[in-house]
Amino acid sequence: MVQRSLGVSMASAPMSDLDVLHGICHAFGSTADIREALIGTIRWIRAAVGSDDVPVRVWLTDPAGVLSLALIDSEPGTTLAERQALESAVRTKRPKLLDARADDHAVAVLPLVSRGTVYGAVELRAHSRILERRWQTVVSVASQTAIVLRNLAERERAASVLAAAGGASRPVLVPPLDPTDDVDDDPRRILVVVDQRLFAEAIRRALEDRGDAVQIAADADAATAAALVERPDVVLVDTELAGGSGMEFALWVLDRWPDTAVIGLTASRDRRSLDQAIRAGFSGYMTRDTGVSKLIASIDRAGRGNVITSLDRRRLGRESARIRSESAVADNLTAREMEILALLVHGSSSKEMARWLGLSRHTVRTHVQNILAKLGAHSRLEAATYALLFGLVDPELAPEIAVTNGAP
Amino acid sequence: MSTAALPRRMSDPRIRVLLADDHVLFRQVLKIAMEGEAGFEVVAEANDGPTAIGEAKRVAPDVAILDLRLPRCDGMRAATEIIESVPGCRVILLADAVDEKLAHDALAAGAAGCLSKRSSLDGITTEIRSVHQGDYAIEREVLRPLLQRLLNGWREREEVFRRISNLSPREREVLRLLAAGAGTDLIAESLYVSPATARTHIQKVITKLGVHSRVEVATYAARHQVIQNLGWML
Repeated sequence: MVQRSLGVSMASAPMSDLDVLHGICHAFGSTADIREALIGTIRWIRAAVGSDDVPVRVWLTDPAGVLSLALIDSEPGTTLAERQALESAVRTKRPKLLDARADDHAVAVLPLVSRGTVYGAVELRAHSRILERRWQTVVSVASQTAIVLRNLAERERAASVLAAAGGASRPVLVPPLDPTDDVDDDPRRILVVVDQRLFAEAIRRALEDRGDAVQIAADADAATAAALVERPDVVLVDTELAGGSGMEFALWVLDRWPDTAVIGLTASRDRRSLDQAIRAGFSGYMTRDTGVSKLIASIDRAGRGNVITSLDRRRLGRESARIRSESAVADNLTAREMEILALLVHGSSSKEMARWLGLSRHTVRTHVQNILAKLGAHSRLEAATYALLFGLVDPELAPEIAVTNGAP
Repeated sequence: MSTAALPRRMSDPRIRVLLADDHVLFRQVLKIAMEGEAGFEVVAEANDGPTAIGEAKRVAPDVAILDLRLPRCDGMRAATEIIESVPGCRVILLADAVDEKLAHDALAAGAAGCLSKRSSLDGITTEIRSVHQGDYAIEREVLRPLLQRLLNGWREREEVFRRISNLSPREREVLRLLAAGAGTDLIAESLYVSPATARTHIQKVITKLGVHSRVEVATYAARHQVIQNLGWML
């Protein structure tokens, strides 16, 4: 079913009218170009739906999410008062618009392309009280948009689907792409948000050598547009971008797509922001003295659909906020303690660990207590989680350690 | 070039680079990027100034790329040291942002370039290659202010030279004494003239240098480093 795979609950949306179909455009660049692109988009939607009556409202917002510019178009006959009322309604609801997910019925994201440059994205959201017929129409347009979106090179295929269904004048129902389709074959999509150009380009070159699809953005504006279009798996973000916008962007990504692996980068010597990053649910945090192998390990772990994302990172983050820095943590643990920590992650009991390591259970317990104290954890589970959170232990490696040490 | 190094250098034309930056991730990704298609060989890395100097002496790289803000011994000092002790090694300073003062200081220290981390990767690699060929690499946008600065300095020195040339041998002696802080009596005594004559000479010097008092003569001499640079004229 179209609706299900789009993550939209039809039951929760009373369908009496097409109330609001509006877009949010995170745009930058030349205003004239954007306006042109937006008007083109609106025409395209109306043509695809086959009706000029479909109210299409497009909003331009700045990436911080504060509505800054105006309605580009509205249905004919809207009075100024109505338009103002609508604007203020959207403005008041803005936090909800940006924060809400499942109940928000996001149906499509359109890239705004002008002369080969992606200027931003329009997000179309259908809100409540939508006639079923029209709703499906919108969904069908959206699903094709999704095709375009997922792979810009497939734009032509999307066009041919429209053509085969009798041109753009009739609504077509096309099942949307299953978001889990061919994800494994895709290169990992990585968005690098770093303002220092040389650093950003060097990261891109280094990661592209490994087969990742890397996009770079120099500021939060560009990053927001890129994220809406590309929907990255991993976001590397300089948390010290001008005016705190890097951290803001990271929080926005985590709030919107909690499964995204966000890895913080900092070029400064100040490590205080680590707390904030961990609290926010970052998957990793690279300080000035962490090396590229650590970065790649973090990305790989994120790409494997790692253990951490299945846990409640936010809660864990709050718990672990007292840990000052990952390298400090790693440095504090002895080799034996690291071994035991790896076994903890693997889920071994004291008894098993004692047998594997050839120690008494009492000694193992002492080691575990020391680990807990050093990590500031209250339980073995917590310690294991920190170990994963900070990348102290590779979750894939843990069983091997257990095996190699396990043969008496 | 030593004969031992020759065959290797001929068979491997890659430019040998030293990278010094305490931002480890930046340094390592830059190394990967440079060693990829760009065709460089990063032969040494350093986390701080002293290590950069030591490594440069040890491996004698073709080009040393030093972050300006290296810990324990900043990039500028490390550059000076490397230029002095590693002949043939070209030094490029890398800064978050480059202004004409920084570019000026870098060149004055003997560096072959001063580049900004705002540049593109391709831009930087191109610049490193041309520095290796013997060129100088300066951020384009600071080139004009830098030339302006050099030109102004040159014009200023010309003007100082012209004004001092106008002084008579006696007046030059007076200038030297004034610059050293001497008073009328001391000047009169040194020149074996009466205080009144000395005052006349002093007035001439003040007029010809275009200043207003004997104190200004001293500050003029100090500001333009007259004794250091033009002492031979006095």
